[in-house]
Amino acid sequence: MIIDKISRYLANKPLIRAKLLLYILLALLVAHPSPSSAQSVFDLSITPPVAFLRVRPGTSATHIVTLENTGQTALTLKPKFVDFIPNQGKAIPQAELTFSYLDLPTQGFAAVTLPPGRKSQLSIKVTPPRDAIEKEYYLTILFESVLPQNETAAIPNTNNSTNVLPSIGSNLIVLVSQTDQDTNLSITEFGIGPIVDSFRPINFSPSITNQSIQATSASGSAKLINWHGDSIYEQNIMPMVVLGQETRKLYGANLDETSTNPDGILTPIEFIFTPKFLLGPYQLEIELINPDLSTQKFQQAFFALPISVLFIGLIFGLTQLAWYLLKSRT
Amino acid sequence: MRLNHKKTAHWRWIFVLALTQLIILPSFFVNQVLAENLESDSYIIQFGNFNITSGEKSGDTYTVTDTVGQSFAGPYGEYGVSNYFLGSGFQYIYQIKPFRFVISNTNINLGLLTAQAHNTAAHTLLVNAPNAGGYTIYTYEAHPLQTIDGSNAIPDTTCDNNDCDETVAALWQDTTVGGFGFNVQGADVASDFISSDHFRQFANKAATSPVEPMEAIMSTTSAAFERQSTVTYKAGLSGSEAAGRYQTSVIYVAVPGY
Repeated sequence: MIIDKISRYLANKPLIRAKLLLYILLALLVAHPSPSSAQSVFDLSITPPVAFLRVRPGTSATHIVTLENTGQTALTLKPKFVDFIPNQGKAIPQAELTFSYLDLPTQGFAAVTLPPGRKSQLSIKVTPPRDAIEKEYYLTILFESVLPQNETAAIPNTNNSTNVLPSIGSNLIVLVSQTDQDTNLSITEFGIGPIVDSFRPINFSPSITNQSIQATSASGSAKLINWHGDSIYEQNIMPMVVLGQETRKLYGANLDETSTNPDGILTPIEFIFTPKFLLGPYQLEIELINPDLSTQKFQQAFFALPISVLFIGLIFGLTQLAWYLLKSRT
Repeated sequence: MRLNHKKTAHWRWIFVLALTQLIILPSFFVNQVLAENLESDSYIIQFGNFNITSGEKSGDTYTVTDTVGQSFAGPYGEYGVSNYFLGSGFQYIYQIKPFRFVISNTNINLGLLTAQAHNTAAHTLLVNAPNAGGYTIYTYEAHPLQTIDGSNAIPDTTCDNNDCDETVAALWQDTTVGGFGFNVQGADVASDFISSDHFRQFANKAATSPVEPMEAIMSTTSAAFERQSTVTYKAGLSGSEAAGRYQTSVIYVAVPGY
């Protein structure tokens, strides 16, 4: 009835008809953006960024990665598993996957489309055989965006263009082992010489090595102790994960309260102590806190000497010696 | 009168059809982008909203995170139970918080290139990496800018003094020097992008001798919140290129640290 009334009314109002038609067309255009502009913004979240999974040989374990399209446009994604090479806390994804204990589909993963605001989970099973080598393996699960066939249609044919294809990764560290391995962290390098200059800042850069095959965390503190046994410098160690058999450089932890994070963030800083004057024997002590909260200490002794004064004295002494030798010859 | 009635009927159908389109078409388009649930014995890609039991427990001097379920546990233990990350009086490694990567525009239009001129286009990158290991963004190109049939190409820039490549940026201001390159300015950006006039080549995935691995352009090893940078693409002709439409794909790989 209402439609009949509106239709009768419109039949005698050509201008309003034309306007209405225009509004409808515009509304349709706005309501249905062209496919070519549909993927212009990429906004994707992945959880967890890093996961640690221990699997006994001959058993299986499941790992789940959750994706969330946090943007306003649908994203077409394709999962891909690759190795990563660890390098001082950075994961460097490789082109291929050598880890052979994943139950991957033989035909590969199909691309899937994740609508805006939606979450998805990828569940993957790790099944090492009974005779699998006990070792830690490093994988990155990449979700690569796939270019729709008509994506380039948005750019005029006469123009030059670049399609941007983003990928996001989640790291998976898999320990294939029958048991939890014992923690075995040690300071393999203190990064300080046996003699330091009394007048210059003391800078040291220790390295930590995980002798075990399983990842663990390193935290604790670094101290400089004088010959009275008093601590003259103390700095918390930046907590970090040290993978199996990995050696990492240690940093001090600095709380950066200027960050956009309301609680501030910890940022790594070099270990630098600027004293007024040091003289005599000192010790660098690094205390590591084990996962069971027990501690272990590593110490390195060094001497603080006024090297510049000694150098001037040495030059003076050598000059005197040379003068004496010359004088005795003549 | 009959004509008027015909007119009315005609417009009634147009009106009904338009309304139908407005109501039905959006759901049709939504259906087109709806994801499929993929499942096999070894994997499932499942869509929906999930409530994963997790959270933070605050103390006076620290915050611990915990989750229910094995997949989000810390290094081979459960958060808040094994104390794996309780170091120096505070816990700060938020492994369960999401890692987010945003690119403001994935269609880069460099316009119509002409000799003796450089065309530019830009987009922003944004990263949220609350986990302690930070993040790295790598990039590479599928191939240099080339025509669709691959018969002609605009080579990657070597900058004003022939001193930039995919690993190091250099000054590129001279419009007589053609090529294709990019600059990045902002947070956690590689140190060789000294100014907005310093450009690098993209690592070329198609290169075989030598192979060019993807290169890091943004990186930090500590937690990162809302870290943003701007990538500027630049292209120019040296004068010898054939007319045509040149294109390539640039790939960004955002990975968390550990």
